[in-house]
Amino acid sequence: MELTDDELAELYDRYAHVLFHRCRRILRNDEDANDAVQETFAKVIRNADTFRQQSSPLTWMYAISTNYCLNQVRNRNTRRDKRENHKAEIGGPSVVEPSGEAREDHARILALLDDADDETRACVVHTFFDECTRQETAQLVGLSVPTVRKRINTFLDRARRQLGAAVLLALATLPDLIRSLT
Amino acid sequence: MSLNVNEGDRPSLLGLGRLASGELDATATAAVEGQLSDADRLVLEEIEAARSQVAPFDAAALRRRASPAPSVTEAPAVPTPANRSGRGLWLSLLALAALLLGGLVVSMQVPTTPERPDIQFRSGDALQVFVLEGKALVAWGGERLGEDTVVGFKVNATGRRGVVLLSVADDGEVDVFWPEGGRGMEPLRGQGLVPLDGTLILDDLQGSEAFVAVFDTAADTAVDQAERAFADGGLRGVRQWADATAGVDAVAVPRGQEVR
Repeated sequence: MELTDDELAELYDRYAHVLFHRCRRILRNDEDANDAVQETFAKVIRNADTFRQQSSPLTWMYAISTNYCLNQVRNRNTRRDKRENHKAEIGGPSVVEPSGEAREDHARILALLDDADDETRACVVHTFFDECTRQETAQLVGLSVPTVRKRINTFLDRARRQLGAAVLLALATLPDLIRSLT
Repeated sequence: MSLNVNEGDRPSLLGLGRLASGELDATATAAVEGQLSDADRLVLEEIEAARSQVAPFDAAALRRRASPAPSVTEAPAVPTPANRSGRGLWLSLLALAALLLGGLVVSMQVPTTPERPDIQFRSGDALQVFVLEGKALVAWGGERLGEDTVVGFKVNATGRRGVVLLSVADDGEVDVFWPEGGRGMEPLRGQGLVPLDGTLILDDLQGSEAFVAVFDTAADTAVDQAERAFADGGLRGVRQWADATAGVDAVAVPRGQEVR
């Protein structure tokens, strides 16, 4: 059964700003965060029956918005890489990137996540961006707690091999790092 | 090194969000409130402050976003009269531009050879694709474009304020290449075909990719329209959308192993 406009309005008033705040932490941009909120609510409309069955609507919307945000980050990185390549090729002005180690670490971690599978990406984001407990992460991703632990450890092992301890240190302090960016 | 995993000794951002939205029952609320640190209280203040930054509720806009793509099959499947009447003019302008630039060899061959995938198309005159050969950009002649091929674009700026140049891959992924940053529009100045600043180095995509110029439309709207068109009929849906819509032009190229 479809959600009525009144039901939608109530949900929006209750959850939109919570989702916006959280999506902005990942996307670091108000407009993109608003887009993520709109897309999440569009999915609520499309999946009204499933949504009505959720004991925690926010948890369900969190999972939806996570996928959306990470896809946006992935697309953004792809575009930026292409544009950077082109500018180097033709000798034009270089792309001005935000300065500061914090932003670089944030970007490196997000780039590292690009290579992970969707479930692992979600596990890492919920654990380190949202500071979720393993139980919360398991609920969000739909996996068992041991599987969440295994996915995160596998990701960290790969991160350590590929990028060394510096990225792991950044990951360890990611919540503080993100607070410094918002 | 000890990673900062929450072992349940502090509320997560999800927990704070559930508290802020009133989703927790009395017991859970008391438990979370008992764990709140000063930093958590600041986060709760940030969440509340976000009310003023989130887009206003618009039920109609949300429902439009949630609705399936509108059908474009009822729209005319041929170029608009404006496109047809302008074709000769833009061919002439392109030829003139080639002469002025010197060394820029322009080939306007329409890719109609039957052995090519029929998804390949050029639907109008407002978007031209060029390929870097040596140090010169030459008009794309319909060949397959492989990884690391450098491509550039010209768009018809006459009567237009700005353009969004995006690509639609045959898996439906939409990327905005102009404007950089993916928001707003790339401003246009001048008349006739003007080059977009810069080029792209193509990735290793296999299959087909449509480059679409959407004029005087914000990037997020253009992406939304492209996604709807693709949902309606894949890259053919994109072609129909471009053919039927004034201010939209598309060129689809075969991608993959280069045969040039």
